[in-house]
Amino acid sequence: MCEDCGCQEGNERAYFNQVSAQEHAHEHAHEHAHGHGHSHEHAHRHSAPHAHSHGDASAKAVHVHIHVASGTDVHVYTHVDGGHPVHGHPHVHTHRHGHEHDGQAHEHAHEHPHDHPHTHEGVHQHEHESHHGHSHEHGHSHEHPHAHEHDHNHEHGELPSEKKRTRTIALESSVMALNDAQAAQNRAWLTQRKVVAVNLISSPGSGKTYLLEKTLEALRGEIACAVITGDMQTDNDARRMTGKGAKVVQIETRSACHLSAQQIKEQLENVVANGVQLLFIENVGNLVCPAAFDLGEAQKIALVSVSEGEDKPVKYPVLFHGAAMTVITKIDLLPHLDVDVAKYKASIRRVQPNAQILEVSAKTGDGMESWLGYLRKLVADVR
Amino acid sequence: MHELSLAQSMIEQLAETLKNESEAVSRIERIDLEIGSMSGVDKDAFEFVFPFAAEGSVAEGAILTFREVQLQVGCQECGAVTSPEYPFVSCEACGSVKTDILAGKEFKIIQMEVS
Repeated sequence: MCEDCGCQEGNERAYFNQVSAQEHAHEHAHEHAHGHGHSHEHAHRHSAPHAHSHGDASAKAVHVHIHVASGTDVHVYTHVDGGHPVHGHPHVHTHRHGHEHDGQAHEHAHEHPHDHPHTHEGVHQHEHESHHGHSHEHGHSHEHPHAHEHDHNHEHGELPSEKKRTRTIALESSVMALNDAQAAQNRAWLTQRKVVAVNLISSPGSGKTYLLEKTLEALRGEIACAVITGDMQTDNDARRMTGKGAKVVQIETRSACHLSAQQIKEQLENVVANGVQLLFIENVGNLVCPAAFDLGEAQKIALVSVSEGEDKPVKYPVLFHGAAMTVITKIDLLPHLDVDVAKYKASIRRVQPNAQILEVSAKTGDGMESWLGYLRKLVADVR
Repeated sequence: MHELSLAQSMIEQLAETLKNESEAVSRIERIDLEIGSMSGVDKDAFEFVFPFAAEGSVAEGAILTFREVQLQVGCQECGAVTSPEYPFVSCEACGSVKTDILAGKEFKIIQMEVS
């Protein structure tokens, strides 16, 4: 399976990320003869992803055509053009064909034509009113010849006039419910063992690992620590933190840009030995996604370094609102920058009025005592 | 936000729910969702990825509807319930920053219509 996008060549799984030529060569020549004189024999599965360029060698576009038959025929044509200079438009054309064959009524309405060039933001729903004998030319000047083999088992949907019997099932549950349920289990597990877990979140390069290295050295022999660190690739961070008295485990997410409660659950028994009091979870460097995934931690701690911009917290409010503590890092760089730490603090307080804020330099040790004091208090409070 | 993994998670939840239904369900026709302005979820991105996540599942072909929920805070000082402009959370009535978020962070499945 391709680790980057999860697709399996030769398999029926669609992918939609823009891929470069070096990563995968999914070149399938397809002749897409959409001569729809309406012998709609297609309940065909055509999910062969293919990349082709539109006369621009540098852009790789991914086209995924999924024709699926279900009760009502739904044809989803998805063209994703990333970074194409002429038309960067994601299109989803949802054509609902409620039709019947063998002499009965076809209800197809296609309101084409498509004049190009055009931009589509988001999802396109085409509602089609009747007419027949249309040919599916999208006038796209896309030049995509695609050929596909279909296995034609045509399933007929019901007549549009025949109302399907439906019923409503209420859920009222968070979409994040599965992650949240696992996070709650993690939290209970940690609480039972009186382990304080903190989830460190920041941009890549804000200084999480270095701060942790210095923290582990300082707390060695005083507070039993453990670390779970996440990165897309490499165990470099785990290596840096090893040998400082704490058990360190690396999670390589490969394609995920954040850690999940499930991933943490899988490491807890392994990394939190008897007697561990403080668990550091160093999340994947990312200000966006980790903020939305509860891991079961006692609190989120955000880091922002002095070179990132004083308005960073306001630009990424979900994280900075959800962090009980924000650490402003690398303060040793201040003489080289035109920034005002007071402005950083004001930004943080704008999105989280109750935020605790510390300023540290792990390199010089400036502010480290306050940081260690904060951690000591967290641990003492659960004993 | 990670809309694809959210879509997959949503479909897993729906499939789980259907296991507990006594009457057999052939497919999900419609899913009604609620997105808060502070949920961190992008509606367009979610709509875009949904067909991929749903392919081959009981949710394949389902229509999604979205109810958008504005940020709502309850003021600890004056008691008012107001809707400040996201991402700021101060009370619109008295300006206090001591507020509790009452609505706006959720991303919920309200219900689904099945056949």
